Amino acid sequence: MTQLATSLVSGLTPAHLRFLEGLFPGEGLTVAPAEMAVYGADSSRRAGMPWAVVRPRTEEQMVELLRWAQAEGVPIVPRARGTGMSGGAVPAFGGVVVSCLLMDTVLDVDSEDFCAEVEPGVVTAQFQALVQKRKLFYPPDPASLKISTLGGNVATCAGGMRAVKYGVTRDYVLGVRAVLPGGKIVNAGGRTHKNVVGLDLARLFVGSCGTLGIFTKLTLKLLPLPEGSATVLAAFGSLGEALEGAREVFRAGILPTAMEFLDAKACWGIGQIKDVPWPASPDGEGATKAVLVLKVDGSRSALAAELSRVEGALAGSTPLCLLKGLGPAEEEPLWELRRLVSPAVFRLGPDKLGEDVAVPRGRTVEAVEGFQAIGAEQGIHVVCYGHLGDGNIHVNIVYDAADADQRARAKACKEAVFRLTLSLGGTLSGEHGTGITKGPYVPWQLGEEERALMAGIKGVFDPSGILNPGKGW
Amino acid sequence: MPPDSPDRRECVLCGCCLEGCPLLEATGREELSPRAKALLAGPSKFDAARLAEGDVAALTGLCLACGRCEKLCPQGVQVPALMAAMRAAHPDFRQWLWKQWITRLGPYWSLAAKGAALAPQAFVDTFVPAQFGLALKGLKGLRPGNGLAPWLAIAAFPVQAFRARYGDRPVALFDGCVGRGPRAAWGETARLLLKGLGAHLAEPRFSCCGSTLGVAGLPQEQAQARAENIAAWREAGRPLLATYCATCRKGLADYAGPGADGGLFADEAEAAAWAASLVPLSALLEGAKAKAGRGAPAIVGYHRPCHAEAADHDFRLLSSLLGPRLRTPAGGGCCGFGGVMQLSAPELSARVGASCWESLDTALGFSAAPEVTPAYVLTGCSGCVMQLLATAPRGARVGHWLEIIRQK
Repeated sequence: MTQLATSLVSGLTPAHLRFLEGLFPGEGLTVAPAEMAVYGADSSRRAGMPWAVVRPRTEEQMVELLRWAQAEGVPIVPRARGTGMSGGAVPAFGGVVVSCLLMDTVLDVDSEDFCAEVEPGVVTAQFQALVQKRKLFYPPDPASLKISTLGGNVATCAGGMRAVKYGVTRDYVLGVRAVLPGGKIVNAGGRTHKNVVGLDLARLFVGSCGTLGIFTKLTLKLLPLPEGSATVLAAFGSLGEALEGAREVFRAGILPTAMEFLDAKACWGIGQIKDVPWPASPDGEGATKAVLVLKVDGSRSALAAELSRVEGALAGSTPLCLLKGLGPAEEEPLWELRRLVSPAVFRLGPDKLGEDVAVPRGRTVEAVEGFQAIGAEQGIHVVCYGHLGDGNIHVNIVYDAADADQRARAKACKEAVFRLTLSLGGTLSGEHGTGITKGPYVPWQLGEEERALMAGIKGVFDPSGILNPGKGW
Repeated sequence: MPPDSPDRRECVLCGCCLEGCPLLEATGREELSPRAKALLAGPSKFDAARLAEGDVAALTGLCLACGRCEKLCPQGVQVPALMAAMRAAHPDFRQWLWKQWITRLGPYWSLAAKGAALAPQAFVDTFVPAQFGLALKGLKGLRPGNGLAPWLAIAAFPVQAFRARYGDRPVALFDGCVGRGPRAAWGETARLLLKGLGAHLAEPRFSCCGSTLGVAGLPQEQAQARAENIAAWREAGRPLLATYCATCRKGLADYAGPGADGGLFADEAEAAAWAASLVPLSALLEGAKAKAGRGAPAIVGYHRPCHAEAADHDFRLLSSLLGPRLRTPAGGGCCGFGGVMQLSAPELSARVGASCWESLDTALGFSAAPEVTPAYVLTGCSGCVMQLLATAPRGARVGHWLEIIRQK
């Protein structure tokens, strides 16, 4: 984990507070602990109490804030909706939390340039709905899209189910305007879809977890909206058959928009919440051991034929059941089942460690079978599901945190999962980021040289180390 | 312990609730979100000594109790109920204010109902604190004679369907505080509609539904109101219970809902019978035919109350009666009434109200030419009517859908 800069202050003085009151009048500043508490927590369930919370409305306020913070050595923690899974927005070492939610204007949507300019606090799903009205498409779809923001998505390089075909947030960021510590404004990238002049600073900001600068404007790439989509859900008697089916789909030359899988425990958990279309008995002949959900998109006239081709590709793996949906009304119930997996996991136990490792796509079977074996060995429920198409596997380690022994075994499980992932040539995090929950494990994956290079880059952007200290790498 | 037992309903900070919270949407202030409240109400991750009880109580008071978050929560956390419990546990001046409002302003409601001037100014100056401003504005709007002029005649009632479904089972109408008080006309029209269906009317003496009392952190008063209503229903032979206020309907359904006091009913069968007897008046009227007469506006807006049941029978009925004349914003939108909020934080409540009118405007387009198509909005909840009246743009007309129905 990053060494904290020694020049940082350990709390705010009355003079500091007077400064903040002047820069953020009225509702712009909060210092009451009860009101600040939520700004100290995120979906990782980690928490720390901010020293103060500010809500800039303008870039000028952001510039003044970062000029002051660098001069005074005050840690600054940028934040949007706080839905990250790894504690990236948690002020683990104190500091002033900067809520970007009042900067939430869509500045421009241009159907000729195929790009949009937005402020960081715009909610992703609301943005998608807005561009869709103009027959445009912003593909990144993290599971949190209805509750998270574009600023947060860019800061974490959020992924999603459509990554297999459309890529992740990184692939849609054309330009970033950000304020750096000291108050400098940088404009990285621009509105062009191609750009090779200089180093790619815009992409450097993507996934930097608020450690390099605070965004004030993002320029995003848009696509033409596909005319329609269709979905197939199929259940299999073994994980191997499901994965073989998935391979056949690719061999047939089909690139699905999304290709998700659920393992046996995930299927069981969902069956506890809702009536499921697959054979639900947990064991024995004909039991469901894995489910695949695939989506394809394109022109409406071609979709029916595409569905038949997917069905044909899966036939060799003898699915126990196969359901098809054409158009949103028929597809939605199938995807609803997939979305239930996260709450369903809590049917197996009260606490979970949610990991999101990724492996080279050809090693997915080995990885999932290995993770399941690790769970069996430790006597802990390990549930695997996720983005089969791109090798990004959600590994949920379910346990009871009140039991010290289970806590220890869960941690052992997590570390074994990480080791196996790395041995397969994978990465510790495909889309959640390392934040504070995975920060300590980063040296397992990144060598000394690479980490020194990253620390050097961080030093160029933020020489005093005030931005989101203790996060990342 | 099974994950769905109430003790296990712990917020996991996933943030799914953030999608629906009208207060967060209108203010961008995360501390007003359901997640912030669940964090404070749950096992604290923070040193309790740093969180002053008064501050916690004050913050948790800022909840609209619209219930949108609990519909989105995968863990089944009920933030409005948590907030009510906290209000009950930390009585502060806001709760005191609310209690005054409900218990002492009773005569005031009936003054209004009698068509007197709303209240003598001296009474207002003496007893009504400045904070009641927004609520008073809503109440003023409810003045008898201030309602919408009726323009819709029911041409045919679904008598056969009603008879086939319910036979001779008597029907009791639950009027609620507004329908029994300042807008007694709602109750009169509702009774005429039931007669049109050929229903046998039972007339038990019901009390307040108790919903707002619970939200205000007055659990004893709520329990008493609930017990009185169940007793009245029982005495009347357990009739069908028709409602025309979405919040009353939800308030009554909560008697037998998750987390309710199991001692209210004789046994589970009676609780189930209560739940099964509840029906929106609009559902009974499904299939009715109507004719719009003179004075019918070209565009009629519909505001969906947060407490409307999933099927939203009011909307279904109005759609079938009014056809393309009826419009509603796609995403809905909370009006910001929020029980205590109109009193405890009128400024926030008004801000949510303003967002609501903005989204109504996108569907109705009244701001483009207010003199040609002034805003005309119907809804099916007393609280929404009050709040929409209090926050309406100039010239807007707002009322319960019962108001547009001709009594002859």
